[in-house]
Amino acid sequence: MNDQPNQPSEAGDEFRLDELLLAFEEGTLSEADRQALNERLRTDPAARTEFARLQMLSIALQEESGRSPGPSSSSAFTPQTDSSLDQSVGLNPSATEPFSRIWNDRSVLRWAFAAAAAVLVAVSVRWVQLETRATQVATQSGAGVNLPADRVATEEPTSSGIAVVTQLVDANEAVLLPSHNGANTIRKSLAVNAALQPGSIALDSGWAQIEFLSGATVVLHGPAEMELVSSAEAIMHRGRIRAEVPPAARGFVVRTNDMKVVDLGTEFGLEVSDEGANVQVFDGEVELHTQSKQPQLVQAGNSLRKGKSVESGLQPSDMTPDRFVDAAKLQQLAETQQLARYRRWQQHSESLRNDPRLIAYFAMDTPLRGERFLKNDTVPRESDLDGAIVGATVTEGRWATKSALQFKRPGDRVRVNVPGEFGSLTMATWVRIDSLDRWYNSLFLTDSYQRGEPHWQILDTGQIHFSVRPSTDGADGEPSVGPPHYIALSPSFWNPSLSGQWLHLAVVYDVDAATTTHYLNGDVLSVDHIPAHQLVRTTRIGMASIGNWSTPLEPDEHYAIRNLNGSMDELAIFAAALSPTEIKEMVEHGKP
Amino acid sequence: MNDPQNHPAPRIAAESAEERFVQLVTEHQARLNAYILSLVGDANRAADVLQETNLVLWRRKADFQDGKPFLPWAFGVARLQVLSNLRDKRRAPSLLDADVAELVSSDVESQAENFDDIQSALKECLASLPQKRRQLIEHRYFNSKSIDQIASSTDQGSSNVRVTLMRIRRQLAECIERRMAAGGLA
Repeated sequence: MNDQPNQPSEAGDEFRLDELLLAFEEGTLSEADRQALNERLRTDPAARTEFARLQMLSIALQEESGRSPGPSSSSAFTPQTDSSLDQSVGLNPSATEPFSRIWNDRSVLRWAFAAAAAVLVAVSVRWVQLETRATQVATQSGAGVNLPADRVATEEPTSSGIAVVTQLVDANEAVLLPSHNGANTIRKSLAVNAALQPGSIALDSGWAQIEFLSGATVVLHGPAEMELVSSAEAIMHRGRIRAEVPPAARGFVVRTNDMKVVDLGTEFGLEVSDEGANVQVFDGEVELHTQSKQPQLVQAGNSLRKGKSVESGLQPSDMTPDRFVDAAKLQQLAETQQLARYRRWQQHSESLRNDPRLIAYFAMDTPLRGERFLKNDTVPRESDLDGAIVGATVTEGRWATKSALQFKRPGDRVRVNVPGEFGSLTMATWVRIDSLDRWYNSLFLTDSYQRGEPHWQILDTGQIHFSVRPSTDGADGEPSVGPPHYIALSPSFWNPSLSGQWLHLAVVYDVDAATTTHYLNGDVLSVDHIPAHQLVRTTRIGMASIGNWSTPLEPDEHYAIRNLNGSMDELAIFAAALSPTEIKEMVEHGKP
Repeated sequence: MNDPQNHPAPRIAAESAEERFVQLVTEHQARLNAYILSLVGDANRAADVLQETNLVLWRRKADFQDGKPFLPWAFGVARLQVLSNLRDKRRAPSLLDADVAELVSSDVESQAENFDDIQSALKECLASLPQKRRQLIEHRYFNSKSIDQIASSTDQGSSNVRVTLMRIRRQLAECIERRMAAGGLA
């Protein structure tokens, strides 16, 4: 952090260390440039630091590629010339691995560091380093603080939703259908708070409330299929809707195959069936366009029916407002459903508390308001495992009747102390992520990250990061003793449209299978196989934080900001590897 | 290592001093390799030097008393092997002259010590690269494409690719430093 290479000693002069090293890797470094490089290193200490740094980056990149899947023959193990060393290495099965890996990498490495002197091609690249100079200044001014300053050339995040799902009541098979233009290729389940892109949604039974970004609210009655065209337009393919269109959203359009309903600020129902279409205006007025006639205004209290064939005209019919559930009625239905779901979760939670594999369980169900400790709900009761709430505030959980904890500020966290030694671990939680602001967004982290301690967090890239440290701290100033930790990194699951949704995250660290499995909403995100020499069989937790990271601090020391920006509702930690079925069951019984 | 409280036993308890020693050599292979390769430049040569270094470490294990920090001692042995390799007149000229390698050695050593952390940080920094930039790195380093090959397959000039590559490398180097300064341990 402190060495600022290539400046100021080299400012304005044409010497470019990174350019020369790149040419060397490429096999195009001329003898004259090679000598210039050596001369510079002889005289300039800053260049030496920079040299070491760039070489290390290159080697780390090669190693990284060596780790990525690809053919590698284990027979590439180069025989040792000293038989005693050979045998000793052979005695320890785990010991052979780094050796052989390095030998295997030889072929990968060979191309990069091609013999420089063999090729004598002059390099003549003038590179004005304006961009990097600017970022160096930024880094310098933020010395010691983790400014997310120049997150490598990021673009502003965009989201292309045109509507949001705001209620799902008794909804069966509520899905986003694959689109014809290929923009969306898989059927996806709808979830409350999910942002919707242009495309078709289908619902087998129950109700879905869709709020268009223009302001119109549509209650969809299953079975139905509706196509979202824009934030102010939809096409009904089949089924019933009730649309509420406040003044701000006037002009909201719903089409059928041969009709267009333009809403002029009101409430209306539309049903499309095998017999044809039926429009009922409950309040205000709509403009009805058919292919044969001029548009006509339809006032509140009128119901018009149109037959299937294009020629058939509009006929008056009976008003049946009860067949079109409105938003207020849907809200009541939703509350009933919520209560039922909540009760179902409670029952499941009650039986979970007796699971002997539980290390700690925070259901967060008992009235949390006003309390600053978080009850550990394992049975029999172990009050020593209660957590201490620091900063985090009590908020609404998955259901209006249930509480959750909200983490917002850098200090927010729950402190716990979990003594003991374990083997396999499973952690499972319901979280609502508002955004991933930090490089590391904490779920559950032990304090100092010692040997055997797990860290579970989400990167700003949306990848879930889980590791157990296999090494121990070295003595003063020494590097740590032991192999590097193995990071099980899931693929990115995050996009901003997930913001505000309750998600179930779980990680299973299975010592016997030597795997780490990440789950999202009961589905496997990734399975990592932990190399034998990086596997830790004995895990520990000790002092730890939920939703943040607490580093042991000297006074006045800076700390990394890793708080979660979001809420957590329920956290269970097991001293066992739970099966995929068990994870799925937790999700089924706990989904909002 | 004398205080078991501060230094818990290694993964698999070594039964003899020899086993413990092999374990140490093994654990530090990646760091030693990074150190040697940085100075020697050429991968084949570096592999030879690493083997020689391992051999010398083994022969001199008596010099190494358990309780003394292993890594500085091992780097010291490796340094001598690197220098004798670079001074060998029968070999092709290397990137660094021997006297320069000796000068750079301490900087390289302090980088190589933290090679594991650099590796972890790099993993995360790569993940945070915009897709195009990441692809460029993958072409160059994972798929061993030359700059000219990348240039022709992406329809740009070679010097463009070269400059972009240098920028990305610079970004990665800075990202790694920030990650390490920020998190230390992840």
